[in-house]
Amino acid sequence: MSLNNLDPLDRDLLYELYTLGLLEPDEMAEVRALLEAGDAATINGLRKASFLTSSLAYVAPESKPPARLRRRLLLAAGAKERGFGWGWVIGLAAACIVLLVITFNIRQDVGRREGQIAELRRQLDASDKLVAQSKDLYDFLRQPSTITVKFGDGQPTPPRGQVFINRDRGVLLFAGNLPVMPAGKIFEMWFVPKQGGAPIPAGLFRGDNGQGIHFRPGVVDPASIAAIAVTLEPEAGSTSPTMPILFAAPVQSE
Amino acid sequence: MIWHILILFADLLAGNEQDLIERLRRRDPDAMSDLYDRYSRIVYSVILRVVRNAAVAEELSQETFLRAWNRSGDFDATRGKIGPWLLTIARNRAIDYLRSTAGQQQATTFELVSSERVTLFVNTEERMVDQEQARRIRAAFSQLKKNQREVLELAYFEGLSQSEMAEKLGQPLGTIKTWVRTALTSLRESFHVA
Repeated sequence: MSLNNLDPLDRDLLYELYTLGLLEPDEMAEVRALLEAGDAATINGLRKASFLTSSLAYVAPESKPPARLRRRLLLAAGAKERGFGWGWVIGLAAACIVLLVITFNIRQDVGRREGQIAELRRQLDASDKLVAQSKDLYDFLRQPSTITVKFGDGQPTPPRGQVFINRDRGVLLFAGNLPVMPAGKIFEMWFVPKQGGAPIPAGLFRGDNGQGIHFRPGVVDPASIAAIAVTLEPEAGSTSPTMPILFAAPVQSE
Repeated sequence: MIWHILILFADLLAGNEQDLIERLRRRDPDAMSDLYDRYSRIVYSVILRVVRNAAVAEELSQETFLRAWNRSGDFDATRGKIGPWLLTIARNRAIDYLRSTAGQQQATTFELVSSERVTLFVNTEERMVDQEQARRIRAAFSQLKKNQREVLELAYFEGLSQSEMAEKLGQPLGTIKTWVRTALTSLRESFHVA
């Protein structure tokens, strides 16, 4: 055999057979001689063939070597085992600190947001109550049986306003131009009985910028009331008027 | 486009491989760790496939890596590929073991050693990365006929000569030679096209 007489494909095959150890002894010797002589074409051909035939290793079923093999080899090479150096410990500690900081910030944020939610919930409850009260008042005002009494008309000085009385639901007072409440005092509403006798307490309310609104719920008989009166009383309220009447709205039931 | 991206990745990985070779040449102990992490599974797999004994495979894998470690100084090329070289050493160690246990050592050992010369694995034009090499050879191998796969396995994993294959398979030597040649030709064509 002479390599010079072979076409390129046959040469490729020859080199592949060489790398697999499948050539006949005389062919083997010829290729080896060229290799040892540094023949460029032979070396180049064997490089390609080696790459192809060594790839056959990947046909083998995959198996995992035991961990001790790595340790033995690294020891032989004088390398340190990776995995549990101080670098890892420091890295792990740093990661833990970062995690703790993140967790702390998240908890703080959650706490802040929970506070905001509680505040919003409280505002929503207050709004709901206000809406319910407004609805009640609206219902109260639009009832056909509600009696309206004006007071203070024509007077040159305050106070003046309106009283709405509903037999089944109670009494609603709107007052304007109220005097400033002195410290320790509060406005108190009274039912003045038609039959005479002491006025009946009908609830306390505060005035703000001369305006006052007060609702006294419950069943009330307009026929038994001569007037709705308001006085200034001590903050705890009184069982009978202790101060002069600020104004009184006469009630005329139908 | 995809091909260009693969080439780019191959270049990047080849850069890592050059760095690894350079560190191996300097006998940087961490380079052994990297070499092992990259190739231990395939080295151990091919040896185990040949010798079919886990303890022996472990021992021969160790020999393979130490041989590469001790001879890495010769690996001075700028474009060498250490993977094929390491796999050739691994396969040779395993075949050598098989032959020594069967009392067939002598001349063949010399041929095995000559096939793992560093010269054959440096200045290579081959830029294929290991994963691509594995994928291609498996695809190409699976396309071969059963008898073609069989002769290649007998040659590569059992180190049999063509005469030994003929005897083992009960086929004329000429038939075996034809199977081997068509198998290698088909494998080469599919491998480079796949």
